[in-house]
Amino acid sequence: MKKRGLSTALAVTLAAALLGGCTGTAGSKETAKTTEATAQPTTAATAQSSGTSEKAKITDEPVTLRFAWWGSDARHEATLNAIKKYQEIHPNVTIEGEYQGYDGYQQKLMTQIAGKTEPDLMQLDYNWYPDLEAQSNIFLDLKGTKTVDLFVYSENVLKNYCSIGDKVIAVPMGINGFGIMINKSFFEKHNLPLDTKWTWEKVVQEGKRIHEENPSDYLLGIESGTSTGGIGPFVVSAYLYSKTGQYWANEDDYTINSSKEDLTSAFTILKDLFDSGAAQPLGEASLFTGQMEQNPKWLNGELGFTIDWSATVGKYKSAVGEENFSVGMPPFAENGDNQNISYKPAMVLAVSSRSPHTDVAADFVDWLMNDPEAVKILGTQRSVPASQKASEILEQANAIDPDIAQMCAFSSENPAPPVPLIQGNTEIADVVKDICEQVVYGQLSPEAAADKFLSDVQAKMAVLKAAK
Amino acid sequence: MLMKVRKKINREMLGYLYILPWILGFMLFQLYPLMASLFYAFTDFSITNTPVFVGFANFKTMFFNDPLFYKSLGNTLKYVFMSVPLKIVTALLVAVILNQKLKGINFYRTIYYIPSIFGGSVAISILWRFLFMDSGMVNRLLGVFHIPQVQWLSSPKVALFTLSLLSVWQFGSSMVLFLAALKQVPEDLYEAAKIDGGSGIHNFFTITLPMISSVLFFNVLMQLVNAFQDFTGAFVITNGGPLNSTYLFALKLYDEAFTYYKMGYACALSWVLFLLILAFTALFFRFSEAVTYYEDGGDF
Repeated sequence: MKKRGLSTALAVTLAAALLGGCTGTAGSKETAKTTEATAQPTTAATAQSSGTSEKAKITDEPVTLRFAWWGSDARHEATLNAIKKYQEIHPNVTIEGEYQGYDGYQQKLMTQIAGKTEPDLMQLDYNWYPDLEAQSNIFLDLKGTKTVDLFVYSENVLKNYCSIGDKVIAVPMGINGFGIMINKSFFEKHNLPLDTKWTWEKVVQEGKRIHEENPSDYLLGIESGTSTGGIGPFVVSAYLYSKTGQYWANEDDYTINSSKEDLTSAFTILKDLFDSGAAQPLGEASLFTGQMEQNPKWLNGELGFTIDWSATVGKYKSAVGEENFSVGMPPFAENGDNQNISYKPAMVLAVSSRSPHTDVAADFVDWLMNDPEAVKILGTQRSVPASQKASEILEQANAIDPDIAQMCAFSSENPAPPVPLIQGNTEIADVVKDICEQVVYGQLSPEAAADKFLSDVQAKMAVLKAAK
Repeated sequence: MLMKVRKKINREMLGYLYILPWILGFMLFQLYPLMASLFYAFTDFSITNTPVFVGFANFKTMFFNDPLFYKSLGNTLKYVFMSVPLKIVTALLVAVILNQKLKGINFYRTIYYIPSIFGGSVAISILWRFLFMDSGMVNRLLGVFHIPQVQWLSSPKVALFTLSLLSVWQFGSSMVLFLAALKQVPEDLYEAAKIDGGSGIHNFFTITLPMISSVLFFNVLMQLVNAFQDFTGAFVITNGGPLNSTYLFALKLYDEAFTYYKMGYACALSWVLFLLILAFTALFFRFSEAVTYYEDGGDF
């Protein structure tokens, strides 16, 4: 008896200890780095010779700010250099960069906000706003600052992508165009003109022919994805929007706009893409979720194109080399109702209202977005700058990546209105993703998928509506 | 008399003082989170909001309104029953081989332990991905021998098995324990068996296995508890796919907590996992009492 009591106790503690211990692994995927860009000791003379120092100094006291962003190495380097420059001009200010890849960034930031330890300056993505709505008072209303010039940004962008309620909580850092990332060598090999205007039907047709001729070649590479990419948003939702001219979700009353017929045709296209061999098998492509540029097929020129935002041009281009890369418009639905292209701020920059130095932070924001030197250092690491002033500076300096400029030009000719936030909600997106996968793996016919979409997505929307 | 008592108290206090750092650490980093998660399990808590008490609502959702809960639970059970026996058998087999008196045996012992040092880290998971993708090393090797290729990670039927192979690969820590236990088996038992005409395999099952049963029990238990919580491989390599076939319970827990920010629900899930592991452990203890042999009678 004694032994049993002991062993049970032992079992409990063991399980408890191990369960407690497992929490450590959760964050291991994130490759967070924290660095302290050391303040350069500069003399007052050099500081005064610089252009921006004419502005009245906000404070002489030593100020330390934390600035968090996500990105690739090139973006990190550019941002750190800009910080260094600011510190040269303002020797009393130290700005610590907290930078990492996209994976795990939002998780970290949300945890920091919950623990009241968020950085003073935060790079955000606008589709996180629903998660932050209840906390919108932690962001400084940039309308109320004297230093941040809001007139350099488009009023629509500020209203649609940078505001919660009537507060402007952030400034847009860059403007993202949307389209396809083209592997030039693949296009040349298969005699596809770079400026082909793709429809989804044509992708299936051409992709099928190519795959039949060269079984290792696939015209399209796309993953199962998340709320921010993959077959849900980039194939099914994109097809529906282009075919019907409206988004499938209705933001106002959380209902579905699309009819069963429209959904069926969207799922049919999705099925055909994978059944025909136009798209790389989903399981394989999904191994490179969010990092399609590392897909060996992309590197070897066995993948024709993938779909993404212009801010990611850099990584695709450097993977295959400049001479092998090009961009194009995204595929549309054949005989669809519109050919609008998504167009949204690449990232936005917010200031924490809980920062003890919001004035310095606001000054830094305005400097980073508009100062000629800062603009030149940052270049197009966050796509084309959203600030009118900054993009003019870069244009004059001829420093805008032509591919990014091209994508933004496609998008800005026919910009699509903002995607309803409910459509990008992570829980909804995962329900959609599951249905899409079942179609691709042949577990659901397109028609059954349309039915399931109407019932499951609507049910999830109802839950979210009730929780609101 | 009083002095003596005081002295005794002092001595005891000193002991507590010595373990104070551990106690503080335990209370702060284990006990408090454990208790807090129990509290949050009964709340609606979206990390940035204040928690609202909702009674058993989270558990109700879980059991009656969340198909992925059952899916992930099923996956996890499958994963546990695939990976644990495979891992234990591999570890025991390698330990038996390494227990032989061979030339350069110490070198091999080190080599076979190395995978466990690398463990299931992110880097190894990425390596695994490149090894097992359709055009990866493993399939190319199979191609050389004209064995049909397998969709190791892209087929919903196979992916979970491939992930459990990753766990089997880290058999080192169990192996070391087995090796130590094998060395403890008294030589005279084998000698006696030899005189009675016992063969190798027969000896293994009648002498070796019973003699190391306590270590076997410990190893199985540890691996069981670990396997229920495995996360890294499924997260990094397949992210739960294809078709949610590798969507393990720990991944579900992570998604609820850090993708949907439903902390309360995630805490409820973690308590279900905790109770599940507890139940399995208790059951296993019951079972092992009957079959485990302790040389010293088995009293702790």
